[in-house]
Amino acid sequence: MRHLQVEALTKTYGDMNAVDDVTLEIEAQEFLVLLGPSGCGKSTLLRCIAGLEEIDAGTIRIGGADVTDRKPKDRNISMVFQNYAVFPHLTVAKNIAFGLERQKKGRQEIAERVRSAAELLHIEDLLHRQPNSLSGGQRQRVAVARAIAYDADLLLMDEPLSNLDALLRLEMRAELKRLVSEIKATVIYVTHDQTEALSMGDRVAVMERGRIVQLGAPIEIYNDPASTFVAGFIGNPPMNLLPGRVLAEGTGVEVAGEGRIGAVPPASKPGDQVTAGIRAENIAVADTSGTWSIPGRVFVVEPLGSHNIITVDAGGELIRVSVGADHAAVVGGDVYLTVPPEKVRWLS
Amino acid sequence: MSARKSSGWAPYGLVAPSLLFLGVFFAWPMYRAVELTFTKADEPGLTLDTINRATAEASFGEAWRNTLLIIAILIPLQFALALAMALLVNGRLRGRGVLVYIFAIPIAISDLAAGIVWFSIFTENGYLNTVLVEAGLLDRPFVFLNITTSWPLAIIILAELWRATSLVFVILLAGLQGIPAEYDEAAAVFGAGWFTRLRKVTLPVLRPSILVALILRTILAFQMFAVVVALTGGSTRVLAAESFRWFNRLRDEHVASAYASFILLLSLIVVVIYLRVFRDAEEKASA
Amino acid sequence: MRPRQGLLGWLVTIGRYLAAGLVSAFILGPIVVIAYLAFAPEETVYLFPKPLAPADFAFSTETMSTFVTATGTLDALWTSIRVALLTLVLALVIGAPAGYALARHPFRGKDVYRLGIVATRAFPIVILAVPLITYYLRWGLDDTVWGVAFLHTAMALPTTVLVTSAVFIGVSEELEAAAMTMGCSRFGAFRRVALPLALPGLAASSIFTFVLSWNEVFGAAVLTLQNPTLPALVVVQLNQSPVPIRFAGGFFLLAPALIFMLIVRRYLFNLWGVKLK
Repeated sequence: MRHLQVEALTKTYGDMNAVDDVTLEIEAQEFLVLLGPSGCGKSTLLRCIAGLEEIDAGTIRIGGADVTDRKPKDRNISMVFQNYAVFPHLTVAKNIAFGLERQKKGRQEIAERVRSAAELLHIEDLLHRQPNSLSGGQRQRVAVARAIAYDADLLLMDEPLSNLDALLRLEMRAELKRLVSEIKATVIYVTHDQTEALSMGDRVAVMERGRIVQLGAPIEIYNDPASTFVAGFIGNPPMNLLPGRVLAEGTGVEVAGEGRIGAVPPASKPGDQVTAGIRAENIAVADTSGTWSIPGRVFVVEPLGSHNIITVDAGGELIRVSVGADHAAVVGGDVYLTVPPEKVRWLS
Repeated sequence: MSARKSSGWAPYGLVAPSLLFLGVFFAWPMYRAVELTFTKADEPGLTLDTINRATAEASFGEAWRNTLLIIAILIPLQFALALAMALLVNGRLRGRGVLVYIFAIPIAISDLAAGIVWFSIFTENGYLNTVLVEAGLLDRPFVFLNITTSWPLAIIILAELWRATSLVFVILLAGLQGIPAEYDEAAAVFGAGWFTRLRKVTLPVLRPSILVALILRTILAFQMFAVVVALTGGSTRVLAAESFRWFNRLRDEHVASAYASFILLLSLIVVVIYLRVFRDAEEKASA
Repeated sequence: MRPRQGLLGWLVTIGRYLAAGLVSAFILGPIVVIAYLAFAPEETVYLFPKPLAPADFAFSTETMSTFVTATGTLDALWTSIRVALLTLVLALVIGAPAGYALARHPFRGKDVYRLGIVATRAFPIVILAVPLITYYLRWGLDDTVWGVAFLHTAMALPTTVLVTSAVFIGVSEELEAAAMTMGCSRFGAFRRVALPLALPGLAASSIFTFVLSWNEVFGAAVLTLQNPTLPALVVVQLNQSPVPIRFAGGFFLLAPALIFMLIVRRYLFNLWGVKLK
């Protein structure tokens, strides 16, 4: 039995489909990430699953039960909100206990669950504090503790890390991932940060304009993006997308002016318009030209400490290449880029 | 909120009682005021007799003159004072919290109490006369509240200035505090002096607050009643006091309603003028 | 702004404190005067010149007690309290739900409604007491606590709706959503989360309504005859009352206002968006 089944879910705002005919299934204890730019519908989808939004079509089943017409409180879900939604008028302990009290659990059990949730998030000594005396990071932990203390089938997280500063975000990412596997939770996690998505998810659903455009393991999405949108969204820097044409000889593709790549898309004919997707780290830089190389001029060099990103202007196309930190590149210098044929992804 | 169940009726249900209430106790009396104005007791049908009865008296012209005069002087003074108070409090000053509290106290004071208070100061053997005589500036106490002079009008203005400026002050202060300090600082960096900054940065951004305060305060001022009664016993005529006099003393609710209609009309005209002026100022500023 | 340097800066600062002091004296002075006169022996009121030195101030509760025990004062006081409390409750019960709807629910006609509510504040509502009394005479509401309370509620309602709307907007919707995912129905989330957090704002709005009703003179004077509120009683009897009684009455009207303002100033300032640093 799949843990969550969403079928043909549609939600309309005015004359636009915020969520457009989405079908999705999640296994128990799976960590699924909904990833996409703002406005793609990921938060809306999450809220529909939570029952916080009315849907216009489709069904939702959680743990086998049809919850489509049920209120949020009857869906057996737990949720962490983007701005934490920690109740300002209750202490931390009361916040964490909130849902448990609604579930009419015994006082002993509530105290026990509050304590263990607080320990898992390392906030045991904050239990009697008021939320307005806590930092953003601490409040975020309270929100997570509250969600995991609540006895629910499904844990929903709506961009829980986006309001934290960069360093804290990094820490919490690792902590959250470990925590979730420790308590064996089933999680749907919404984010616009593709690094978060790739590092945390068992599977990632990339969304664009209300639809899921690719669903798969992070490494799949990274290496084999299903569309130019996904290719351009995933990875830092994003995948280079080079429009080109299959050569007359059919042995390669002409890109970026005078560049030549020694690979062709399957089932293509000479003269076809194609798009070659190449990751920055899969491109080699040479000083001399070869049969299958792309000539260009160094446009910008960005040293990042562990490696450098050089942007090469090849016939008007800007190609980003990842090189070693000690690679000496001169702005304005001529370079020749080569790509292993098997690393090219053909996209339409 | 659950899927498919429409929460459509809820907001209307929440809002309906207020609409109903205002319909009965606001819209209907307004209509009734106009109806009473154009009718007469014991006579069916519309007539202008009631209005004629009102205009026939000398106090009609007096009431209009006094009301308009008082307001024409009072409002600008109030706004200047309120702005000064707001600027004062918004700057660097120790004990600012106490100051805001003191400045805001008069909001809770009724116009009747204010009238009585200032009566006690300006009355013939009141404190003002005491101070003036003791200081040798006067030989005998001066009858300030002599209605044959224009002193009463001035005192009415003073009393209202004392009482009602706080309301404007609070509105302007809230508006001022909504202005990010960066605007003023940017202007200062680019060489604008204090007065220029006031004129070109502070006041324009304060414009919406000023408009709100103007409308609220002017409408309230048209209803001025108890201050005048407390200070002059009703000898000085103003529109609202006339309405009360016709109702209470002369037992004619039609003429009383006529005065109410006059005030309504005046309010409408003034609000429209304010909105126009401010809209034109906005357009000119953004041109 | 950065502090001004030098002599000019020093003069400006002195000027500011001076101005603050002057305005404060302007505001507080008359209150002190009326307080003194209300608590002075009756002769002082007629005395001229009035005693200026603090040493000459004699304290006496004669005038105040005469005022308080005069016929009708205590009844009028009780009427004022009842009217104000009734107004407070009515305005809140009718206005707060509307404010909540404005804050939370998008609905057709919302903007028109809001505009209408704002527009009513540009109307002189008090004057409507005159046509209103003609209805009251028909309905038997004249000279009653309910009658005056209804007028006062109409006066307070627009502000109450707008203020409660602002208060509820200030309570993040996310909080109610969180409560709903943890076992609360929509109403339960409102009761346990939104309401407690809105309470300070609602309280401030209520107190403002109370003071509005307490102070209102014209309407109460028109709508009552034998059962006046305190301001109505005072204004109708004003010219026949001996001067000391008038002063006592004035102070009596003033005092509750001062106490209210002291208690609720922080809430009220939050309400109006005034920040006290």
